[in-house]
Amino acid sequence: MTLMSSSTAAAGPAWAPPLWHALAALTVAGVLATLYLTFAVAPVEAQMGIVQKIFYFHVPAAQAMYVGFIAAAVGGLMYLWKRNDAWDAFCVAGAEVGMLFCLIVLVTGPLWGRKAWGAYWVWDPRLTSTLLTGLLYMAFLSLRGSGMAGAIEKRFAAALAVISFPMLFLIKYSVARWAGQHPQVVTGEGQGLAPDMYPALGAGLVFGLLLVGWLLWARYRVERTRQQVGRLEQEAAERGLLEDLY
Amino acid sequence: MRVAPSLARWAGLALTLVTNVALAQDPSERAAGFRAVEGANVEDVPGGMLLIAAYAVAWVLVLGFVWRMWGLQKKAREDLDRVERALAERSGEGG
Repeated sequence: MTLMSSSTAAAGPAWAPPLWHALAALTVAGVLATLYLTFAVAPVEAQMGIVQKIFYFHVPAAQAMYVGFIAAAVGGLMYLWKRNDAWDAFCVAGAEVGMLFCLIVLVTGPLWGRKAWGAYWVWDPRLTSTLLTGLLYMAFLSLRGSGMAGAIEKRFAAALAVISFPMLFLIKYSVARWAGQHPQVVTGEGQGLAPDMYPALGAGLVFGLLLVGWLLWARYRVERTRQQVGRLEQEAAERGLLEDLY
Repeated sequence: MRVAPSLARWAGLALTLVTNVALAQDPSERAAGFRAVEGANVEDVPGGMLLIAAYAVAWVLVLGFVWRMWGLQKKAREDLDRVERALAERSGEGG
């Protein structure tokens, strides 16, 4: 009975905490508000036309990608230091959520580029460095994809998350350091945005952060539960009870 | 180590791609501002379809991720309940 009691306590309650549901509701409301601001308030851009509205979720998705990959690097670093499974779960959650938004960035950017540049893909430094970062985190996910990672795979994946972290700086500064076609509207020194475009972008950035936070939390909870199942099965095997479970 | 072949494949692809970084474009050609349109909006490339495609892909990816998480959590909770129940029964038999 001691085993069962301790496992239940570690896994936490089956239901999600109220704050988790509140965050989910706030995120949904925020995303709807952002859609309204994007399509009803923000004007059509003069040169590119309506396709420029991709900007209002392409940029928040890129921001969410940074948050996810930073979480993965922090989780990986802390796991290598503390060897605590909670940090491993945080690392996995960060990498998966970051990869989700990296995919969104890599799909929506070329669709915008088709109109803006006349081509879906150009080997621009920012596009290339983002693709390269995505491939590194795909390597991470292929390591951890089975969900049955041992200590070696966990350490290897954590190290990969940490050494991939500098790629984020490469993405961030590639647009300024090297030539390329990627716009520099937000961080550049040009005319910036038309005033009516700011509310949609601001809402996208704020509620994009809420969305990535909620997804990180949700994925972290899943991973902690899976870890708990793995620990219980291992303890059962050590006590010779595994055959009773299947 | 069995992780090495998988990692080597990804690293090989990554190294191939990084060598393709284009460095020869003029930074002054980049867009540096967005202006609102004046009058009717006329487009040659169908930007509306590209916009719809982008939104559709983004939402399919996000909702698919949420759906997958829900499935993983459901399965993990069921596994946890099953293991705990089996261990409790076994402990009851022993004690």
